[in-house]
Amino acid sequence: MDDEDPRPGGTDDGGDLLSRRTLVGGLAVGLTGAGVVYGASRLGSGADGGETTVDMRASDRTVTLAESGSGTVSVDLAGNPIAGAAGPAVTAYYWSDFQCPFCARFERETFPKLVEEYVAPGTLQVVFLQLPYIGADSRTAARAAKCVWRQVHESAPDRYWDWHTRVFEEQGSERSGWASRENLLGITGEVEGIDAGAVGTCLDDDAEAVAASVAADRSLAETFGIGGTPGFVLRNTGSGAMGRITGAQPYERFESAIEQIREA
Amino acid sequence: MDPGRLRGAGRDLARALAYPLTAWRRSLAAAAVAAGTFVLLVLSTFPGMTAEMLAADVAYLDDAVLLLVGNLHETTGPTGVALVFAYAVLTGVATVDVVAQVRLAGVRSAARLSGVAPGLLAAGCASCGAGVLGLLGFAGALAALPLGGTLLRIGGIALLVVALASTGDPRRCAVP
Repeated sequence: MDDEDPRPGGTDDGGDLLSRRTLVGGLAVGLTGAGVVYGASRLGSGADGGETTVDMRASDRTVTLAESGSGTVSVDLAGNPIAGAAGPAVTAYYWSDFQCPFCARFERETFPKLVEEYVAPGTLQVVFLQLPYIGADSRTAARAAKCVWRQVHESAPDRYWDWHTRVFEEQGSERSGWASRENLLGITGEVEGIDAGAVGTCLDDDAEAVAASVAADRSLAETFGIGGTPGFVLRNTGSGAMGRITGAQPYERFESAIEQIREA
Repeated sequence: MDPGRLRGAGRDLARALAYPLTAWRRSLAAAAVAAGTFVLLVLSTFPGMTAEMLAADVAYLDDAVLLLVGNLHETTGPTGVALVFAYAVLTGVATVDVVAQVRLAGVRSAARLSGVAPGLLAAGCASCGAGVLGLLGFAGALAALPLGGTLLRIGGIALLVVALASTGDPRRCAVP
């Protein structure tokens, strides 16, 4: 750096601080900051993926994901919604938090394309798991998801997808109250084929069971080092080879990871 | 606080902030450090994702930065983005001031600027903390702090500002 480059206007009395260069520099920093903040606000609002439908199904299987000296890691599929046909080449275990904006971004921008390219053709199935970490409303939403699945898993499993996507569409700011019990039941009441009153009853009467199911999902996430949402573990259904993806990464990254696991 | 001392501190802060603008090379160095700091802080908000994307291909760097800047705005709002930007700018200023101090008066004189370190650490940890804590298995720990860690960021930046105000222009000797 050049210390032999004094500014005009002196250096001693503070008046130099208002020199033209200082003012221009300060203005440039301010404008850059405003530009960064404005740009960030535009980056957050991604394109809508449009209407997507997917076949949901239930399973009563317990899948062993990994075995090691310290024990067996398994997931009980009975309490968890599954998107896609049985017997796919790859399974994605997908942890989300309904209050997480990055999850909403994945749901909006990437999930519809994954459904179209991999789930609908039967290559991929997605197991929905809960990892609520943004406060009490996130926990309520996770439990509500379990209650909704309990209600529809036998008679109309596709309704779960409607509910799940609707809740993400209604997402507001974190901790703003949009995911309170009352609001969630209001949203639930607007989803055709789901009895909001029964979901409310489930949240009260089956609180312990649904909380335990959410806790099992969280424990599984910890086992695989999923420290944020959205989080994914991809598994080759045949060979058992696994990989991890965290965050709302671009579709190309999911495509590449799925192909890699498929061939592993 | 004595109004005279307050005015003096304000004048010293302005001098410390203005010093990088006294030469183009200093300005560019401060801007480069600020830009690097901003990118690092943004990437560290979700280190797991950053590591996966960069391990797949370094060309994903711009995608990762844009995704995470957008996510930073969605999780902390314009205030959060502005605070990270402010922290990055102050880090650029502080770095140039420290280097000038060392060059002009030697390493020992930089002790005057050692007060910068707590602010750098506090604000930096608050800015990247959510991701780092998540990586350590404490997902949501920062989200549990008041205003999602915004207060901690403000506190860290305030420490940096106080440190810069106490040093002033690195070319001038401090008169106790």
